[in-house]
Amino acid sequence: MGAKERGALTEPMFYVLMSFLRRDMCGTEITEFVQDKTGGRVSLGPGTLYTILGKFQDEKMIEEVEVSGRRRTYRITGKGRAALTDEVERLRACLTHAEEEGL
Amino acid sequence: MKTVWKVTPVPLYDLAGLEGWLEEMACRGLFPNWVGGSFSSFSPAGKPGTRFRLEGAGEREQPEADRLELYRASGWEYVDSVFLKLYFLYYTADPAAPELHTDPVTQGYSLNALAREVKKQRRSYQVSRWLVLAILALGIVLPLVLRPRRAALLLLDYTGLMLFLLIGFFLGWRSSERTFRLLLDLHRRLENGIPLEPRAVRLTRWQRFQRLMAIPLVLLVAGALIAGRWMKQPLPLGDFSRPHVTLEELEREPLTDFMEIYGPHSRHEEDNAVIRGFSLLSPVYYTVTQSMYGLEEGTMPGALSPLGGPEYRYACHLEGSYYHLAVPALAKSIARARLADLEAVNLTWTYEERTYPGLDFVILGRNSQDDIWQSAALGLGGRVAVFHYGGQERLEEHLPLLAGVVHSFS
Repeated sequence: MGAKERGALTEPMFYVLMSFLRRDMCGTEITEFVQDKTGGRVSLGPGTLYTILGKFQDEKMIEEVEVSGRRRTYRITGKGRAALTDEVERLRACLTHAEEEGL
Repeated sequence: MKTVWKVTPVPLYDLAGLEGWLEEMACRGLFPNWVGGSFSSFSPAGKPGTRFRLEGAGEREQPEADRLELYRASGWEYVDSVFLKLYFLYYTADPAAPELHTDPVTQGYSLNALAREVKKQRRSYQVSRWLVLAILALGIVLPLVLRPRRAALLLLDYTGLMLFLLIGFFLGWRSSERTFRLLLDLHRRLENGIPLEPRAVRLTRWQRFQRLMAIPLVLLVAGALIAGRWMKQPLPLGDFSRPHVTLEELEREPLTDFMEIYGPHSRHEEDNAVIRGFSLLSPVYYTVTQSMYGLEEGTMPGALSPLGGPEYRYACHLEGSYYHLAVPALAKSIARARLADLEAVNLTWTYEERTYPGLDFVILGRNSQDDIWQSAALGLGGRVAVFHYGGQERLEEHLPLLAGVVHSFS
């Protein structure tokens, strides 16, 4: 199934956005968070992370809060939180449907 | 440090192919210094197992510093921009380094700018190529419409270098279309979540042949262009030995040329010359042009008096075109088209077809306004000779001479 049919967020995008829920984060912290949270199942290559951060910034889902040397810290915006909530709702609906079918 | 040059065996937009090829080169101990569309240079610093990855450069001259920092922290180093800043090239020799891109959809997103650029480039390529085709078609159709009787001569014009150029034009079109599609298809696949499959480059025999033949072919076409221009230069008749009819053979009175009588004159330098041509339909063809003058001044003005000289002198002119056609069935069509081509616009011509022993056809042309200008076309198999004559002789009385030339040239 294609990404567009799956929804707006891919799994790496979903976890990157999720990583900002408790606190602001920089790139290496996001990678560690995703690694820990998924037990290494979802790996976040540096190219993927950088592109996702750029895309989320362009779409105003996250914003830069601090630049310290080459370390950039980001936080989630209201729009980002809404996108994440929508995705969670969608996944929850998928889960419900599967359970209804006896899984 | 020693530099090794290699032909880049992948097209511009084959990301996986280029990555695979660079990795193969690393296995052979070569590390890229510079990667270009046709050639790439390497230093002997490659390590087996090195991974190379490309990213679209977009409008950036250099990757961002924080991106490089992030990549470096994961074991990836920047090499350089490649293909004239189309991509940025990164490498890692660390087998534990994570893949640069682990999400195909995001990787597709990183190629958005490049895909937009490729679509734009593809459109402008298509427009320019259709425009060239339209101009070519117009160049073919217009003469057909304006002078339909000359149509057969287009076969001579278009089965020479033009045919090769047209084939090259279409092959180039196909190749650029394929290259554009490589990236657009890849972009679509990535957008749909299908990851980029690493692959080694293996050229097919046909691709190897194309690459081997590319340079000789370019040289051949360039040589043909130069030779074509050289052949179109008028050659002095004195230096030409192929069979042709001369005015001296045709005329009953002694003749000389303009230079002999009046000395050098720029307008008469090419009075007696040959222009040669090449076509697949007639690998050798040539046109011999002659203008000659009587030795003595006459008492009556001559109808073909020389330009810039006294008018009381007999002048005559002969233009003979000689073809050996690869397709004999076209002989008469070419002959008629050439006759039409030689018609002066202010004269009305009528043609009479005759039989002549040993020839397939003889066509004699006369104009209704004067007795000076006449034409004749003779054919045997694929051999065709077409004459346009102005002077006091009657061409029909010289058919044995004209027929003899048709028999003798090959």
